[in-house]
Amino acid sequence: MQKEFMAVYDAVTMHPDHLTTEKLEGNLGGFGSFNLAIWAATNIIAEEMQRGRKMKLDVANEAYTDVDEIARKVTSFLQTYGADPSNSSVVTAALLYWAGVNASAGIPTPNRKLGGVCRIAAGAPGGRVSTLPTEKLNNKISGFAAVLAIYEALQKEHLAPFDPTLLPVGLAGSPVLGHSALGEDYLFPTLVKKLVPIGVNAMLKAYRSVGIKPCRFMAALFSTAATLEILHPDAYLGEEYGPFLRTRTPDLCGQVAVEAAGLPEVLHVRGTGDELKTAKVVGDLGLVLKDAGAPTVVGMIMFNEVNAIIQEGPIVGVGRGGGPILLPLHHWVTQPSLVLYALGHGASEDEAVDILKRSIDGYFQREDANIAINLLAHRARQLKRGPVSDVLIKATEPGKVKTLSNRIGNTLKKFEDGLGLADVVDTVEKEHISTTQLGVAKIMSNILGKNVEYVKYENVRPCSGRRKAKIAQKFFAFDGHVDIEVKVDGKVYTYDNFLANWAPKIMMEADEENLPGMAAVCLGVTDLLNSGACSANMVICACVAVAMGMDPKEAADKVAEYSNFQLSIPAQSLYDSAEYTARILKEME
Amino acid sequence: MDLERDFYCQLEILGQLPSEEGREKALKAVFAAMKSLMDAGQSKAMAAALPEWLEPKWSDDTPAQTVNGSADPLERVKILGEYTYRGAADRVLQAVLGSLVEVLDAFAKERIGRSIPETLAPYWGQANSCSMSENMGQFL
Repeated sequence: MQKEFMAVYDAVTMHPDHLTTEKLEGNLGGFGSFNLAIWAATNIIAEEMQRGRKMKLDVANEAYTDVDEIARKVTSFLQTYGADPSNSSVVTAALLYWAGVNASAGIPTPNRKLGGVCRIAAGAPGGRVSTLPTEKLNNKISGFAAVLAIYEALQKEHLAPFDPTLLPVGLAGSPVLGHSALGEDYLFPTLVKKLVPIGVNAMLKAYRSVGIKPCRFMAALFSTAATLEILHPDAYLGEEYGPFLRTRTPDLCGQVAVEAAGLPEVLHVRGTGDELKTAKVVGDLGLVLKDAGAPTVVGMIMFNEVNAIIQEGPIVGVGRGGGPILLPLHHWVTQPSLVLYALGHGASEDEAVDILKRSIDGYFQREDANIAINLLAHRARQLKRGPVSDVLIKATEPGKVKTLSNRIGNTLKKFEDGLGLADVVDTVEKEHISTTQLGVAKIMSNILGKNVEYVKYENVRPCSGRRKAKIAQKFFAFDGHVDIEVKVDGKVYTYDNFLANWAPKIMMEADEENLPGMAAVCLGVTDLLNSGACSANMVICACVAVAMGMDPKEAADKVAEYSNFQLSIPAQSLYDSAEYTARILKEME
Repeated sequence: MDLERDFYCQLEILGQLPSEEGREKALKAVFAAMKSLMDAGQSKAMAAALPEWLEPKWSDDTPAQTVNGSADPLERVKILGEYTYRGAADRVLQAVLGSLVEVLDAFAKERIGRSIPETLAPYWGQANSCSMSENMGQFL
């Protein structure tokens, strides 16, 4: 079967998009997303680091610093692939931040802030927090909630700790207020402590009101940004708040925001064990958001996904591309961001490879995640090659080859054992569900701090009965049916037709008795719904069927018909790879 | 700020170590790596130069993992602290030394400078506290 194996292997791997149901080329014009450009742009930053560029903002007496130059290259590259200038700005700022660039430097001229540097490099207009959207979590809100609440508070009561009408003439903007005890010890800390919680609570309330689980991380960032629009964003503070030259108003904003949002004080970077002071990250990124321009929702999705190198991301609301679920591929930018972090913080190439491999352990479907990362890395490398691509491919290529070889070999064997295509597809999908079940039990136990003893996803198929449209009855993603049984802390929960019946019932009735079960199973359901991100299983089934003699179109049609969930949406890649299998085999005969 | 609090505050910022557990781990790894590169006389001199609230950490003889082979301080810190990459080891080594610089008087600094082994000398020579690193040059 060597010939058949070779033909199938080549057909499924010859183009990155043969392994996904997604349309990767659609991302290259900025329509909807620009994540592939971000993957490629990290190579620019890594190359500049390797050239010895100074990855620090400072007050050098130069018109342009190294960071300005790098920001110009990166924003220009992103815009080439369709990014809006402000979106290129906010993403570049986040990438540079995680690569090790500080968020601000200086008090007098020149005073540099990373968000502002990137906005100017991008040629983007200035923005205001009131028009800054959050990332899309189905619905989305904007910083208007925080800004409105803060200004309402300013109108309702006097928040400064003194009567500013008593200030002598000429003290407005003076260092007597801004850079000495009156401002640093009294005015700024007082305002931070009053304004930041108002903004955080307003954001959390707005999230809740439109049916979004409140995103604590973004609420903290937006309130920090809104407060820093009002406050002196570069002022130092008294030493009770931290060491001189290291503690400014953004740092205290971050600290107060972390408390108000209920964020953990310490976060970690995936795969490294590195600690992050949450307050510092919130203060820095809040400052970035204040200055980075006027990003759109797409830009903010990418911003949040770049930040998803934070290990606790799923818990605090920092992106979703870092795991545990497979996301639609156009959301993923976490892995190049993580590699950039590692290289920027002194990891060797081999160490960065190990860091990335460890980070992949956090997915329910580790093998599929590895393939998804690999295919994105290969496609992005076609835009711009470089050190980040090298690390990504070195980390994922061996695993991809091993996974695909095993799956192709096993599928060939199933046919040799006499199974028909329908049974092969069914068996492969059940094996996939089994992996998801094990991953959910293990990872959700850690995330929830509960004992998720087991979960069973059964009767996973299209057509829950909600829709009548024929296409909805054909593809899982349009109207999915799944029965679930899960045992959490000793209690068994059973949900028949979970998506159509139980999810709405539990939420509409605030059914607290069933919430623990729902919390344990939902991400797993999401993973099943998103499984087309890596469609290797179904593509292999079709290609092996062709290798065993079936007509390519018939094989693809049949797999689409037999697949219950892994072809969650229609996929041209299935037909293309099946056709290539036949073409290759014909030449090999 | 008292010196002990200042030391740990500096260590937190320079080392990117917000948790007490992380700071203690870093301190233990760096001190163990330094001691593994010193002879008994050098180690004794170091102990004598440290503030009395820090000296017990230096003298803590909790068995650390044995480090063989390379005399590279970073490799030793990486192994002893179980850090995942050399940059993390570099960061905590510089953080511990930089935080020491902030709290030691000139006499103690000079004493350490004389007792420190050759492999560590460059790190000690470049050790900068929060107020000296990064921002200091901006105002000169």
